[in-house]
Amino acid sequence: MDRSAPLVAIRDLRLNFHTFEGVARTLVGVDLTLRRGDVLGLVGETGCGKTMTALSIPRLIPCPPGEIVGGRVLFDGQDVLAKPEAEMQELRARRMALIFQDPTTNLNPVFTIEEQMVDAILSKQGARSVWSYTPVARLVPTAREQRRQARQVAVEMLRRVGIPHPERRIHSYPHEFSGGMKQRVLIAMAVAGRPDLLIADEPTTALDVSIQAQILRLFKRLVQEFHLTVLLITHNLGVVARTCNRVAVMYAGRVVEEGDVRSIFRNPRHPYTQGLLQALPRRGLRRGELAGIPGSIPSPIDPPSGCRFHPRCPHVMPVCSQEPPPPVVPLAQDHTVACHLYTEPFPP
Amino acid sequence: MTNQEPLLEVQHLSKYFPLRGGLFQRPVGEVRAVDDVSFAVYPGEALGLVGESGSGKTTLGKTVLRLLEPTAGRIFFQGEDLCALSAREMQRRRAHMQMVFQNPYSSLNPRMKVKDIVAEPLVIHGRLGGSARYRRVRELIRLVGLDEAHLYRYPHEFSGGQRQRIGIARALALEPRMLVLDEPTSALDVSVQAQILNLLVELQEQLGLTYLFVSHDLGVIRYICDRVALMYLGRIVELAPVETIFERPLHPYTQALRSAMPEPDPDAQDEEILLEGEIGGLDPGFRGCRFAPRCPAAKIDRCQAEEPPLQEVVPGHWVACHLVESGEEE
Repeated sequence: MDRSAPLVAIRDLRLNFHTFEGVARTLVGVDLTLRRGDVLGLVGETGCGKTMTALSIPRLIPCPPGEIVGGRVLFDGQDVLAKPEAEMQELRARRMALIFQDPTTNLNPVFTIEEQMVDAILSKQGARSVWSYTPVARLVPTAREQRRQARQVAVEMLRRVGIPHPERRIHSYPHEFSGGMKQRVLIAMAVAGRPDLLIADEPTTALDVSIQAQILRLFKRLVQEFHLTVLLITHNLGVVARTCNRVAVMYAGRVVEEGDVRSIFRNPRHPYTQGLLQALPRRGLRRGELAGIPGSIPSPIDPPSGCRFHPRCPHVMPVCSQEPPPPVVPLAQDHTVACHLYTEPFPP
Repeated sequence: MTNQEPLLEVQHLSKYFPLRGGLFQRPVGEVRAVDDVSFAVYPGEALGLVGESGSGKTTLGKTVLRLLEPTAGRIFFQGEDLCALSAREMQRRRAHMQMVFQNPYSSLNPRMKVKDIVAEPLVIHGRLGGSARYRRVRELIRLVGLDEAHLYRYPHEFSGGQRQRIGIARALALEPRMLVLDEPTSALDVSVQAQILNLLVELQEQLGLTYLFVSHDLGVIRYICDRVALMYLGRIVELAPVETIFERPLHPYTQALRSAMPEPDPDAQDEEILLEGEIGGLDPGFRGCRFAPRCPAAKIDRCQAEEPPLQEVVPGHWVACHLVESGEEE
């Protein structure tokens, strides 16, 4: 295995959704690279396609109504879009994990944490036998032993994500946990299978700030302990600044800027990234000084011509509405931008 | 500011919700959502109410308008005790104090055109008939940055930000002196949030409005408010001018919340004070400080035994903490 090759490479991914109102061009040429060990923050506003981009990696986009019309998604060098379903399932189980925004809807309310975690761990170990999952498993010695071991792993994982008294709490039902604790359970479940890639879709959006801080700290620790590569989807730039080492900014179905977190926050190049950062209420800002981005997010069904940001862009030029979307241009070490303002690579 | 008469003054306000259980759904206890809260809002200022979910900030906002009946305490608006009013009289007073709701998707009637939504308060209060009413509606819609053509559309045709503008236009219809804003931007994207915040700042300057701004977002509060009240489990734990809350907070909860707030700057990471545990229910027998179980500061016996009162430690800076009072901090 080539350790220097990127873990995930999305190249020119195009996704359409067939809706009653017409074809929604949700992704229009997404390029994204996740190197091993990256914690990449994927930011953008509602409907920009960040969740769909992330879901393309485990190939979980609902098709239909979705349709991938172009591009490639490479996971560790393997073309995810071309794999047969059985192999794909294996890949998902062993090497990827997902965490979602709302921890309540992602735990089954009628099973205890133990049952859910043991099942998840067994499936990640590739236990194919139906015996392992059914009540009959309690009668089959090998399956019973497997479940007992999985349960030990589960308790250990719960301890590592900071659940007090895991041996006792594992028998609880999801409703007996608070939102922050449920999110910890889901994180434990996700990392229990020692995945290479962790996709976290707005993992702290539903939580209070003090709980968010706890979860983010846990996240940072686990990334180091388990050598995870993380794709963190969020609309909160504060969370990105605190957690990530790289950032990709999406707007209306494209990654418009990507780079090192300091480079993006200190020296944003794309007018949208600049606008987004200026729209944040931040330290030292007085009343009336906040700059918003005029207008609103375009519809993916009837998007603006050329660069999709041009109707809201303060630096709009004639070329922006006429030419097709600008290509991605490298600006500096680990900093790329897709904007007509920067047609030439910057001199070093 | 202190020599001014307050526009709104709340004294020892409480709102308890009964907890029902058992076979006949008898009350078995109560949730003290707002518990003995006192504060004042002065004309022309924006007072922020901050807290985590379950702190009682929204309940407080609604109780102030008597949209929820207070369990105890008094509310004075322009010197008049609102709790003594009949429902009909109260409704008339609400012309001076209107509310903007959190969710612009559920707070606008989907079957009404925008012109009717904005005109509804005028209809209810019997203000302005015929063409004068619609002149006012047109004026309002321009005031919030929308177009007259928008008046003949339905709410579903608008984006979240535009809907919130409609909600604000409706709240302004009766020329209120005060707006209670309940998380008006938390359902919106950042770029749109900035537009709405700027609109609120402009409107406040233009119309001399007073805001009671409820939010969990400290960044938004810092931008829009003059003074901030921090709530924890139904109580105000600290009340001070906005710079003081952010630069020199005294209560351990404020300090922790302040440090937990992620700044959009990769290098500006303050020392994080991590709070243990979560905002929890209140044990009915517990008489100590509500924050004591999570408090990272050195605990003294009084924290467990006695609820600290909200006291003015520096003029304009109110704190409810035994440690601050006894001078062990700062």
